[in-house]
Amino acid sequence: MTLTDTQRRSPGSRLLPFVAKYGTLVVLVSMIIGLSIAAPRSFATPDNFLNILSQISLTAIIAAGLTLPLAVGEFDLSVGYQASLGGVLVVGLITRQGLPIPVAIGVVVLVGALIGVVNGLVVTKLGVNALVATLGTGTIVVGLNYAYSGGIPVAGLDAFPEFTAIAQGKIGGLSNTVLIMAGVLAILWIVLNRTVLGQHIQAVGGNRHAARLAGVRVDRVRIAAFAIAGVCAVIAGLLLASRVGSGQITAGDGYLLNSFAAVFLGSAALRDGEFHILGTFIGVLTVGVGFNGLAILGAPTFVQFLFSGGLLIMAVALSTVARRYAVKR
Amino acid sequence: MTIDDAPGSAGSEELIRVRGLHKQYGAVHALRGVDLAVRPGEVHGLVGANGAGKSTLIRILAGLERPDAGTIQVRGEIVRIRTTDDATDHGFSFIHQELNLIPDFTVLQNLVLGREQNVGGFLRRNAMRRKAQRVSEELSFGFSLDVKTRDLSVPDQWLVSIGRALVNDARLIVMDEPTASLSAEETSRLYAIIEQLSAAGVAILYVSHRLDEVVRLCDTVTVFKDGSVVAELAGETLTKDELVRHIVGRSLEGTSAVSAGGSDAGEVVLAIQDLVQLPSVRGMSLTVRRGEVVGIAGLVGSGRTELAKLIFGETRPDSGTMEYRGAPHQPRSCAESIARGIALVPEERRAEGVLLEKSIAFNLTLPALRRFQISPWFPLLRMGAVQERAREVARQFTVKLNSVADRVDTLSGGNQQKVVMGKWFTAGRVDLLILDEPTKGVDVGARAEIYRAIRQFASEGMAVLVISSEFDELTICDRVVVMVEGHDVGDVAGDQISEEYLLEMCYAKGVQDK
Repeated sequence: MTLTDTQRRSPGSRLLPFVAKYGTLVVLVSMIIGLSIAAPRSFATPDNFLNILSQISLTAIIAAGLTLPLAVGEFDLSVGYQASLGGVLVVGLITRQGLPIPVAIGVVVLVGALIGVVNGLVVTKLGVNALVATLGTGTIVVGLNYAYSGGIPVAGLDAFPEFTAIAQGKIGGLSNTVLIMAGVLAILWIVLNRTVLGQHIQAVGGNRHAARLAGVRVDRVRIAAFAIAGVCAVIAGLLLASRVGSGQITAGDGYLLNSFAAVFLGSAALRDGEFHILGTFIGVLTVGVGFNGLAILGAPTFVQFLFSGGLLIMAVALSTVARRYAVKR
Repeated sequence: MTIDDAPGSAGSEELIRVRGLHKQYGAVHALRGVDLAVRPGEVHGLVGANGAGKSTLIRILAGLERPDAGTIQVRGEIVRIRTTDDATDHGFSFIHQELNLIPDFTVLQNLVLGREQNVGGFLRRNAMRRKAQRVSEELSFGFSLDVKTRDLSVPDQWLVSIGRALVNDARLIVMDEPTASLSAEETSRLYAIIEQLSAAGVAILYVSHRLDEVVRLCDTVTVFKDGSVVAELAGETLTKDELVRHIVGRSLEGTSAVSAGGSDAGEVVLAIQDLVQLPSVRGMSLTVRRGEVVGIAGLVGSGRTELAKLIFGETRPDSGTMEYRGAPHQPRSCAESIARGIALVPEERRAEGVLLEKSIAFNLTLPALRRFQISPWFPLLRMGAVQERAREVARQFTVKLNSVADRVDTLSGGNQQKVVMGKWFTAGRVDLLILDEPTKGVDVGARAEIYRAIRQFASEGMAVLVISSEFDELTICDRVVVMVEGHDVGDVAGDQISEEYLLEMCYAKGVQDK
């Protein structure tokens, strides 16, 4: 037999599929271990854990929504600006227009859905690349925000403690925002995995042409994904307004980068480069633990930017590796 | 291992010799000790069912996969092919169905792509042009080196691909289903080129399901089955019957002889009148009745695939009428056609038919998901029912699988095709089934099953439209409409349907008939 000369597999051929599936988890676990050793008394405590959950809750809501456009194969750069508008609008509707709180929230959610639908229409019907389209609509949203607020923060929530209580309250030791986050994650997980829309989102993300030939109404599915992302963004925005007690004009903008990083990190967790809700939560947790660690270690502000930018690049790189080296079962 | 004693022991004039090649993907043993030798100038056929191991062997030679065990010798020396560059350095060249040419590049640019000669990063344009010129003369290109590749016909693009191999000083050219996108005339041109290459000492590995071609063209044919070489045929033993016997492992009646069932004319399901969609469909008319299998015979470029897309609602006609079950049919989307009971098995299986990265169950249930909602008003899916139905359909269509949760790309081509067909029956109701090249890249065994399924559908009262460029398979039809340059030129029914007659009609009937 001539089996003596065996051509050996390179070590990379086994490592990369592992990275694809567990890369993000390895990052998360090693950060937790590292920080537990570096700052055992301030990091590894139940209080700090609850603190992290509360800190990540709004990012998680935006990121969970953002998972859907990405799963369908589109970018949405407008979510941060939508969150800002959501916060300003909800406070304004309550304090200026005098709408009852539930009605104000309902209107804001509708506005989020509407912006998402506009995003979807621009992408599907006008054929504008989603990156450009949502950069455009996002900037228009900023304009609407300034038009409504006149460029100054919207205050006056002192008279409406019921609204500030939404984000500031607690149930059984858990902050309301954490519970709302859990609810949003659960609902979106069900949408993506247990509904026709979710299966269609995955189909369109997998191969748009084949999905269309299988009878999926591709454009509707893409529009719906943008709409859900918009709703999640404004919900996070109004929770933020409730938490800080006023409508800050640019409060939500910063969520964009970290949500993207989280969703991409999540695609390199458990499922070979697919965007999915559980992965997104793991991604958000990774981002949250990282920032929490930086704060505990007393890192200066510039380091946070370095971390944030570096993390985004690493996240997308991991996601790319995950897609390329997915193990075929 | 009986094949170890295959003919031709290490002759010095062998170009390559492969010994004892093994490759395993997870539980799948793709190659189980394969031996193969190719001499310079030899046209060597590789045949076998999908999943028999041909593609794996080629991927190893191309440097895309590493074998688990075994050796490859080039001109007597053991070599390791780690990258695609290594393969090129050994003089191996690969021409895939998709050709891998850059459409916006000129012929010259494509010829020298990847092997651009340069001095300090600057292209040596004249030297490259001289070399390309020599190759173009050798292959007698009927076009300039400076035209854009996108403007060439498919056979001319083939010439460019072969030319690129020669620019790279290829000693071995691997051709994968080379005639799949060529018409009969273009095919004979390719034959002439292959004979010329062979005379110049270039060895050809010719991979094809088209056994007539293989018999005609090849000096030696190696038959793969389940990862092993089961036969090496040459000279007098090389016949189509013998090949089929080895590929299938049994003699196969019914490959082309599934008798066309009686067509007691049912109601008209689809009636097309003077359908036009420029530039490809120009005045096509057609009727299909319940219980009838109608074939559309057309050469490459006849507009047959475009016709299927019009009926299915993927594109819209410029003029003409379609009637479906007695009512006007003007679908604005595929979804609308599907809702009316029309199903399409598209030509490009991997790009259009299946979602390769999704599970078998996902693919089988995708068109019918709404059936599995808990209720029309409550959008939750009953995943248990989804899996259960997927298993049923997979069983009904005899898909060979481990679990419906496996990815579709773990299946062989034939089994993937069964998934593409099966998904339309998950919902239950299909009145008109359109199959575009249903057996493209499908092995002989699965072909027979697909033909049987088609007859079965018709006997259950379905109207079936089969589009094919392999005219011998149209003998399963009750009636064949010949399509030339975008319109129908005639009908052939029953016993009159034969490959020769259909071909003759395709060539003889020009536009002037209409």
